[in-house]
Amino acid sequence: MPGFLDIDGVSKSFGGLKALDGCSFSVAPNRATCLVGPNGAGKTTLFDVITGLLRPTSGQVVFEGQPITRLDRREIVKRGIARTFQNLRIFDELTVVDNVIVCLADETGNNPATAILRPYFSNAVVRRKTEQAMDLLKIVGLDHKAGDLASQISFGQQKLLCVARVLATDSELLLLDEPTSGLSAKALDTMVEMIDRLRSLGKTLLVVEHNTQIVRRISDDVVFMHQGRVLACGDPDTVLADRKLIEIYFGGALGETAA
Amino acid sequence: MLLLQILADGFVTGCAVGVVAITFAYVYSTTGVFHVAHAGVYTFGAYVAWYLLQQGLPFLPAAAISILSCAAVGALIQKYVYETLARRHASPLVMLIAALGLLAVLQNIVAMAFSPNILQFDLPWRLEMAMVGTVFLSYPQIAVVVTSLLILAGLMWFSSSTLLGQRIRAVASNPSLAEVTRLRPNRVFVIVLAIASGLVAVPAILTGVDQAIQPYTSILVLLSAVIAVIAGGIGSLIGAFVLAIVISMVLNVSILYLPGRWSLAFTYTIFIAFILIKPTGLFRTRVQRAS
Amino acid sequence: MNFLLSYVILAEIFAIMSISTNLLVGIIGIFSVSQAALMGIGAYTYALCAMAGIDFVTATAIAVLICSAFSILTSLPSLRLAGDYFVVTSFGIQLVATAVFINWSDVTGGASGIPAIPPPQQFGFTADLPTEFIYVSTILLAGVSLIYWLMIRSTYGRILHAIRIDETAVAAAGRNVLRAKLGTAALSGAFAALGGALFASFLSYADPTSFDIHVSVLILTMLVVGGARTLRGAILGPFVLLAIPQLLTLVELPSSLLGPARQFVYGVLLVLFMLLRPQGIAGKRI
Repeated sequence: MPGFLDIDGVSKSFGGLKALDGCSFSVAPNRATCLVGPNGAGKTTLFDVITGLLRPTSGQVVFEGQPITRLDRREIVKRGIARTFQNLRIFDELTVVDNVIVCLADETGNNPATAILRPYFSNAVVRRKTEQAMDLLKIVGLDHKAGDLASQISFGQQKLLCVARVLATDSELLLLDEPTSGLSAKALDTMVEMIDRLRSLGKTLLVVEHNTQIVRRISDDVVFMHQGRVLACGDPDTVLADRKLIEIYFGGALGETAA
Repeated sequence: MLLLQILADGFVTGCAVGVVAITFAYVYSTTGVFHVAHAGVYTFGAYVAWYLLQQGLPFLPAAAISILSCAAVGALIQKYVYETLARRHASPLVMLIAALGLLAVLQNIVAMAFSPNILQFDLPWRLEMAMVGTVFLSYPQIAVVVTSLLILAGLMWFSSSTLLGQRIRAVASNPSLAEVTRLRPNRVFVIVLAIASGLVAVPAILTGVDQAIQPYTSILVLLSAVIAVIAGGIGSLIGAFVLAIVISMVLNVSILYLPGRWSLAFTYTIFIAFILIKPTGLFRTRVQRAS
Repeated sequence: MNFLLSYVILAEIFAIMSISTNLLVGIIGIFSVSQAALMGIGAYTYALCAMAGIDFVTATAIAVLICSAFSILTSLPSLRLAGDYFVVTSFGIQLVATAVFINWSDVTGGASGIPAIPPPQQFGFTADLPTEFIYVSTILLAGVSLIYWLMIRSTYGRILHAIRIDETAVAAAGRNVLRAKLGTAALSGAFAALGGALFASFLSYADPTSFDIHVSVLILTMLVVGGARTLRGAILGPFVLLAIPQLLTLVELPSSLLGPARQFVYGVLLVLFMLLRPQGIAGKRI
């Protein structure tokens, strides 16, 4: 039975290194799925494969019943999958509102001919898109920072800006790569509320998250990855109670802290 | 016969370009600066040696002073330009524009102090020839080959086997970690620029003795060298050196078949196409800085 | 009077070149050091057309088409090579172009170039004198500035800036990065063609040294000193830089040293501006 997003035996090798090794799982619509696992488990690589940044060595990604593995990145966004990046990738020299405008799904005015030959229309497009972007910034609570340079706002605000940018693409499936990492306690609460808000907007979420408390709080399903493989899928209480997985997870995490 | 002679001449030029290539690569892989002013240092070295010889100094002391002054110029560039820019978190674009500016400054200081015209060294032995197998090589050409191979071997040995060389590599692979462990990256970078600049004076002087010196031709040398660095694979000194020889030989042979400076256009087009097809180069060994 | 007018006209021509460079270097982040090569292609194309009796507008239009195509071609490597690497191919392209200008003597007149290129002629009007030519150069500069301004203030302009800052993020948002880059390259080439055509028709000659690597660096210096990323900076730069040769004539220098002295000053300016004021006189941080 085809689901909303099906990862079907996806493998990805870099030289000899297998970053993903036969991953399979499904994401159900209107739910939040958390990808957990120690660093280097292949979570971000999987995001790269889903969004077309990387081509899998084998396997398929199927979205709404259509294979998207061979599609261009751009085409994948148009089908309704958008992502954030672990290292944010905000346009730091642009204003907050321009960051969102660049990502708006509507392509009107995004060509030189319109800009040069129809200046008044082009102006109207800028005004309209600014309003749309402001609406999105209100959702993430950044409307008061709209005119600031993206480099000048706080880290937590930059992460919220990333959420506004994926919202701008009008996608149904949002992939959030570590949305809460590095946040202060207060900013973390805001982000968790934000994720709830995204679900109430009817978005499907696939989230890379390390904090197990937050995973329990936000997720309907959990996919546990380790060394490029999916070790377990299921509801958070079952997966996060598995002793073997906890050992891998915290063993790995402790090992990292020690190193 | 003629072809063999042309290949031999190409090999000699290639050795000289090879030293420019490996020293450029050494700077780039350590400091991350795309040091196009290296060509200016090359020009500067040749003219300093020429000037000292004119003043009556014997060849070897003149060459030694030239090498030391190039090392000093390199160190000053790092200390007062690149380091200052790095401290202000200048973008790679700003770094590159500053390097282009330095190149223009060095070349034109030389052009103003001496002349923009071609000059020749006044040394009796520059035209002496020796028979090597079936080809003729001038004494300066032989000196180019010998010193270049020594520099290649020396730089590789220095980088892998000496304490300072290893320290430099440690800084290159992780400057912020090096800062913590008190390797003092800034000082290491100054040393790297001094070494690279001193070494590049050697082929600059010898090629100048063999042919002639002119303030602006070093841009062509640098271009061949940098193409060799990329085509050989950034991070591989041997790769850069070998490619420098290949490029120079292709250039020399193409002169047989193509009139005038078409050979230049032809050779660069081939290698630019090569870089486009295989941007990682032939001998790439490890992931390197590439912003 | 004519002396001042010639200065203004040349500065306007180079302002067009500086805006053309700004599109690539300042806005979309393709670090080209071969703009003089494109200018040269425009100048030679215009010269050959004008000598064949083709009118100004048509000859310029042909130059624009050819230069846009070449600009797309020379920008293609930037799709595969990032930052520093692209500079190398750009350097190479500039040197190859100079080699072609010198060696293809049947078409370009070799090292001595093409003399006696006719001035702009259109609708029976001939812009022979500087007092007449200044209308042509001013109108074209105004046109180029207007196009640049309209484009940069649109949503498209924001995308171009974003591509420079983070190409991957722009693509991840569903934007067509490839088309934007090639389109910008084409427009930059078109502007360079206008600069070249004006240059050839104003000075009535075109030779290889007018379009060599030093000129490419000069154009870059103009942009950087004036201030990259802004229109006013790109226009201001050429007026400042072209005043320097005039100032140098105040110093007693033998004529053989004038060229090196000029380039030395340009080099010093580049380094000093990068150290002290990387945003130029009127630009934004680069």
